[in-house]
Amino acid sequence: MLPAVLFLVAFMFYPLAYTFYLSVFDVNAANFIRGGAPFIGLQNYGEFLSSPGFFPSLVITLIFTLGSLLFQHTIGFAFAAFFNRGFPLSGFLRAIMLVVWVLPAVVSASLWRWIYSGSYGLLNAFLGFLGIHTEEAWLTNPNLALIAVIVANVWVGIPFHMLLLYAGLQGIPSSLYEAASIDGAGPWQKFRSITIPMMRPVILTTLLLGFVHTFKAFDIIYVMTSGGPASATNVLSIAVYQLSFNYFRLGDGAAAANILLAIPLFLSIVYLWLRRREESSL
Amino acid sequence: MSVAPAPRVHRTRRKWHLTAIGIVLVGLFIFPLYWMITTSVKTPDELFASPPTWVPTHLDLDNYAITVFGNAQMMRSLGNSVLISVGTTVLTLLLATPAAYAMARLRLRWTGLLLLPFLVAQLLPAINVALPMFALFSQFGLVNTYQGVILADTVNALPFAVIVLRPFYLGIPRELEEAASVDGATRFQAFFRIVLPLVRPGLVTVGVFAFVMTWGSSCSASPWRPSRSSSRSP
Repeated sequence: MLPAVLFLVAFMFYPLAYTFYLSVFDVNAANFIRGGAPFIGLQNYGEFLSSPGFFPSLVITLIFTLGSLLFQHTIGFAFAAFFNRGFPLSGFLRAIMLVVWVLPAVVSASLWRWIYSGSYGLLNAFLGFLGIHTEEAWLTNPNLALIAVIVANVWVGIPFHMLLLYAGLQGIPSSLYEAASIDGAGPWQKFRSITIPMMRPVILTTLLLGFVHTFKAFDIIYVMTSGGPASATNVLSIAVYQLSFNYFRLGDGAAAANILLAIPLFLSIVYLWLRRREESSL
Repeated sequence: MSVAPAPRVHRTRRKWHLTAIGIVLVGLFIFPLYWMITTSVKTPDELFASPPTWVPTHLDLDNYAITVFGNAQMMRSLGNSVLISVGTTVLTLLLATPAAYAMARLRLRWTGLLLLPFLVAQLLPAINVALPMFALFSQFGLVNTYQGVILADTVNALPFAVIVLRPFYLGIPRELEEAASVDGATRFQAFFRIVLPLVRPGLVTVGVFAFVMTWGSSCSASPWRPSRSSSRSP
């Protein structure tokens, strides 16, 4: 059985090693197939980091990731707390919400693209219903596109946060709340002194997983805007894609891909380290 | 926001109002889905009506009949999706089944080390895999082939499959296999006759996940997919 494992590890880590290999050569369309791309060390990294597009792209990625996480998490928490009160049909309603989560990204992205469309979009129809008449094409306005994409991504992500947080809430023994009630604690006090401390590991794990998944998000943005308009939603993963497959600068693309990978990897290591320290201090 | 479970007295009588609130909230949440489904059965006139109609007036299945089932290109895409998803599911199961078994049975010190790559692989941006894959595939002539896409999608699905499958094997006591070998079964016989039937629920779970993940994936494949697969009309 061991050969299977070795095969798998090689199969998955070879691409990674190959990305690193590509990233230190000046690979382009001409010398890619033929071979013989010159070795240029870390120059691709330097070029990408100092290119005018990098910093805005990083900022957009961070706004997208943190904005999505903030709303996914708070709304997901609210749903989880609501479902945790246990009422008839709550299991059924939770299952329905999960449908949104398993929707293929291409489908949810097309759906939102079309909610945001100018003359026959659902959003404008809804605003018209409220008495605000507009023909705004949300995704082609550079000032609105990023927010629009974040809203769509929040929608997709809520069920995931709800699911994990709900499982965490279920794990808190109700005796704690009963004891607190006897001591005269109000709902806010119970939430602050019982729910939050008990949920800390679950909250951290959910946020980390959410961060990693959102930071590398590609499909949903690519389908909705392809990084446009005017680079307003050009997150790092799209920048990598464009470098590699639109301009065919594979060396630069590989370097950029490694930078994209480095950030969530670094965060995961910090997280593991924090957890280990916390566990040993207990 | 209180998350304290309410006292058990008056349980059902008091909680139906929560169900009502829940239905409204979830209804709002999945409204875009409702819209997608109703739009797919609207007539062209109704589709672009301003203001839009909230409930379709006629049920019009032309979108499905003509655009999907009557469209050779679309049917081809659908066929591609099925072929690739099934291929990936089969390959993932073939690879994950023995791998997860090995990881469940190895000594503790090694499993931690071996599990790590699978966890890290979960972090990989799809694009990080797509780029070197594209480079490799173009050297082996796999770009624009089904085999290429299936291989690429398997790389996506595999780490997850192994991680999910491992606990199923852990739940099977070693003694069962030992008993089989006492009765004269070889390791392989013990695996195929005893262990495998017991992890069937795990295999089903993993298979379904691999299928769903592949069906929805587009990034890993878009640079070399034979023909773009799309899944819904209009």
